[in-house]
Amino acid sequence: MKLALMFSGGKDSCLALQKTMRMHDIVCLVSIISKNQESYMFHVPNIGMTKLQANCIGLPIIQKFTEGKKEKELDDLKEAFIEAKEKYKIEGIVTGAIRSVYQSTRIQKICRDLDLWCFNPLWLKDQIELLKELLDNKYTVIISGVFAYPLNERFLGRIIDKKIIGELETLGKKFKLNPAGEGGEIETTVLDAPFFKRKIEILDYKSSYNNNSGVFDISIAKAVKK
Amino acid sequence: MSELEFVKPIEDIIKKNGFSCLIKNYKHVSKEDVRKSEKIIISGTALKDFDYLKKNFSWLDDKPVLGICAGAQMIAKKFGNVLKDEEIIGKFKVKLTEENKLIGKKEFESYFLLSKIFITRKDLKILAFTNDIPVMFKHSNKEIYGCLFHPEVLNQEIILNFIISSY
Repeated sequence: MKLALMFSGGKDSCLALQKTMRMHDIVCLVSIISKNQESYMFHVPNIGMTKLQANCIGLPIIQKFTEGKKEKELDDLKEAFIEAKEKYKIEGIVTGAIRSVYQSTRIQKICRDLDLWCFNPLWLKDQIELLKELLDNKYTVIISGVFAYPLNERFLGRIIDKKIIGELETLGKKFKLNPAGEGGEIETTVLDAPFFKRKIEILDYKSSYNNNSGVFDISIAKAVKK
Repeated sequence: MSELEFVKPIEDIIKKNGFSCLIKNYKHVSKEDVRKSEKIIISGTALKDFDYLKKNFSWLDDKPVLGICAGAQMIAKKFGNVLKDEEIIGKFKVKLTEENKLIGKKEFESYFLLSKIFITRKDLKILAFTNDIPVMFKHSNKEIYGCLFHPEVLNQEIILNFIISSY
């Protein structure tokens, strides 16, 4: 089946891509670039990197901009799916949704309206298992956003490794955080994965943190040989 | 693909609670598989998948069964009930109307991903409603249950109670 993947450039969409590639043809990526820093629907930090990531993966990407206003952003998403349907003849959409009923409900409804299949291969996946799967598959993933106490600037830009998974697991239990950030506590950016033909090298960045909220913003990056 | 989304979460609940399970595609279930099983859970599937409606699930016998979403539709159909197109997608309130072994709460929220409901009640005792639509049932004289919503998302106790209840 020809499918499009909702691509944020973060760990979940990349892992969903890897799982789907084993069974179906992912023919394009779809990214929504939201101006709303607090979007419940779309990943925000480093979303501008998705074009470079798509290039590294070797897949075409449809990028749509949205103001990020609550229901209007769904129309923008729908337009992107329509474009993918017309241009790449897709029969369905894949997402990296894990537990967000809010996000999943809205995407399922859009797919239903457009007569598209909707697949969520990470749905309800254990979050620590998910983080470990990234390590087992040799992903290079950095934390590009933290949005909940006690996650602070110390986490920004760090590569997800065994040590950080242990820290997130401990903090998750103590402060009732989702250790993989499914509740929006952290956002990530993937620099390399098994299906990347080239990997990403960060040349410049800006890290900012204030009031339990911070972003590691990649300002210059390039694709390099693996 | 749907296995990761609709079967794996149920498998995780079963295994995390110390039980074991055999996973089989409904198209390949044999009478021997059923004979060896204590209880059976029939999962849901993707919204655009209707293949299950072509099968008559002849292997269903007197073993306790919990049908989830498509699984519940299939059970209702198997006992001669009529299905009708009706889309319910998202989180909705469910009101319990009959006491049962699977859930004790009188009112709870559940996640629905559904495009068909049943409109007749042949051999079915209705246990719960959402906006006047029957969404949970038990067979009148068999330990066969159906939930049109997905308990693995917000009501995991239903699955656990089904597993641990003695019949």
